[in-house]
Amino acid sequence: MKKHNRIFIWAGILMLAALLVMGCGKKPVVLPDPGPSQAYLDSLEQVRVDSLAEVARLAREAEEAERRVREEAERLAREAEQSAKSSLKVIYFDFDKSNLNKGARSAVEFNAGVLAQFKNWSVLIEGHCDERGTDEYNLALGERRAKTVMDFFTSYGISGARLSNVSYGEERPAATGHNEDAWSKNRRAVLVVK
Amino acid sequence: MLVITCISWAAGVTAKDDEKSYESSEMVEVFLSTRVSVSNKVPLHFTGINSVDSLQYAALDTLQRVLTRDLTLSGLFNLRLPNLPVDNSRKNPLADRMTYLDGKFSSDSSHQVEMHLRMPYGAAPFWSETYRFVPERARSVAHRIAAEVIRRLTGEPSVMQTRIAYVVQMGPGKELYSSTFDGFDHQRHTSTGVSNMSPVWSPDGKRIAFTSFINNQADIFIMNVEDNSYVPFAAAPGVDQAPDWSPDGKWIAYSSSVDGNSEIYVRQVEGSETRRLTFSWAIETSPSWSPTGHEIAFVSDRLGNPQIFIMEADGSNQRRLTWEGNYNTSPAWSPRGDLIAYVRRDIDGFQIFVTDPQGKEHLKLTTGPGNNMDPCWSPDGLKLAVLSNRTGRKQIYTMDLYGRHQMRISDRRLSCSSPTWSPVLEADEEFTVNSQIAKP
Repeated sequence: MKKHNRIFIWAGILMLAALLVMGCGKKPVVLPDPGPSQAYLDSLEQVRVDSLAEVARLAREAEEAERRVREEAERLAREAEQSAKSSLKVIYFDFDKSNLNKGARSAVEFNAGVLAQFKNWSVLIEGHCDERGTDEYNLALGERRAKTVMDFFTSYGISGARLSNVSYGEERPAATGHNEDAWSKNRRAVLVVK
Repeated sequence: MLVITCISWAAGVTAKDDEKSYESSEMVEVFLSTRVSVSNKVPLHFTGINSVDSLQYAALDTLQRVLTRDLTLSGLFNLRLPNLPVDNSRKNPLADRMTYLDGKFSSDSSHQVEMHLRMPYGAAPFWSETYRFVPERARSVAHRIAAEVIRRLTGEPSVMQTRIAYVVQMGPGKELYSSTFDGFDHQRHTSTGVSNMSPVWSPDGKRIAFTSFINNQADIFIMNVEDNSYVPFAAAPGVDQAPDWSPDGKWIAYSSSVDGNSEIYVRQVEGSETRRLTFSWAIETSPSWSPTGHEIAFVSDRLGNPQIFIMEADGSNQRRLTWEGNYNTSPAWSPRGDLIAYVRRDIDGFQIFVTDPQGKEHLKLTTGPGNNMDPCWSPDGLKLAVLSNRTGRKQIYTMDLYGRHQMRISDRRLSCSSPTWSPVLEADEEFTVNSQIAKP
């Protein structure tokens, strides 16, 4: 009997101990927080700043590249426009005539094609004459030459709003001789892109 | 010096031209003598101007020289000059009708010359005028004396007190200049740097209408000759050009492309009324009024090349004047009304022709080599100023109706065109005049 009691006592103690242990195991374990080191924080900040700078640099480079591409495209467009401008042909006429002869017709057709391509151009058509004949009649004749060319362009579909004309008669010769060679160069209509 | 050069040069040209166009000159004479009353030339003996102190004066020399030249070039006199003795013998068929011009020159604080017209020789003068002047004005005084003598003896308005305006190539532009009718006292009127063209003097002599590129297109402006200021007259988009004053000075005829192509219009000078006179698809330009103001000559290429037409001043009754040649332009109606000068492209280049307003007879006044263009009449209708490039450079010449007495009036170093002859200008007070006219 006595032996049984002891067992019971030990069992009780053990149970108590176990209970105790189990009861204690359920409580949170609070440890002291050491915190990140200042150096670690500094390095993190450095990374952040560096990557922001890198992003900015990349953005700048991208922008720069884009601008270069755009400028190059513009330059090419300008060059194309410039070469189109200089490709415009002078239209030559016969003495005391304002109708388009064969050469004049092909020149004026070529010019119409160019004008149709560059729709932003405003074009001044200058009419000129050679030095022969009277100033007044030549001023009127130069105007009729310019208008012949203008009429051709409008019938080709070029908007009349883009076109204007002026006559200089024999006042502004292109060649200064007094022979047919110079005269033939001076009886002309010239396109000036504005 | 310049005078001597001009005279000797002009003489050379005259001789050459006379030789070439001798036949045509005779035709012109026959043709013109019925229309221009200069066939009966007034016999005049200029016996010279004597210096009271017998000294030599440069101003007196100028006076004699310019007066002699003016009387000669007028073409109105059967003239005897101071180097010939007085011949009032019965053998001289002109003795009865001969008028004598003499003068007395003295010099104290200023120069003074007293001119007399007498008839017969030795009689009391029926006209005398005394002029006081500074030496620099000797030319003007000589012109005034010539003008008075011409007026007294022929009744003709005198060109001696006129100027000729023209344009001079200056770099890329053409500027307006004028000089006396005999090529002295050149004055510049514009400094625009652009082309100025087709000047034409107003009938009152105070204004010049002209075409200008001041606005980078051909517009018409009117200049006040006194201060060279100008205002726009017709400045529509397109070509406004070729002004010509109506004889009463109230209207200007001109051409404009404001309605599409070059047509003739007339517009009030003071006022806003504008009338369109021509309606065609062709070029119409270069209007020139008749001296009555009832008709206007103009250029039209409605038949395919430029020809001269005439219409009433309201645009009605348009009729063709020139039928020969395929380029007839620049009509200029004589102030006498009897002739129209124009330019034709002929086998020897562009030359001056004249015709009657009916276009019956056409006579060539100039010949090549070189072109003669831009004719304009003197106010007495006895002379023409023209542009000629006979020397290789465009210069202004005056000549008589026979194409004779050709005289260059523009600077030989300059390139000039578009002459216009002024009316008789009011004499400005450059010298004092004292007139005495005997009662008839």
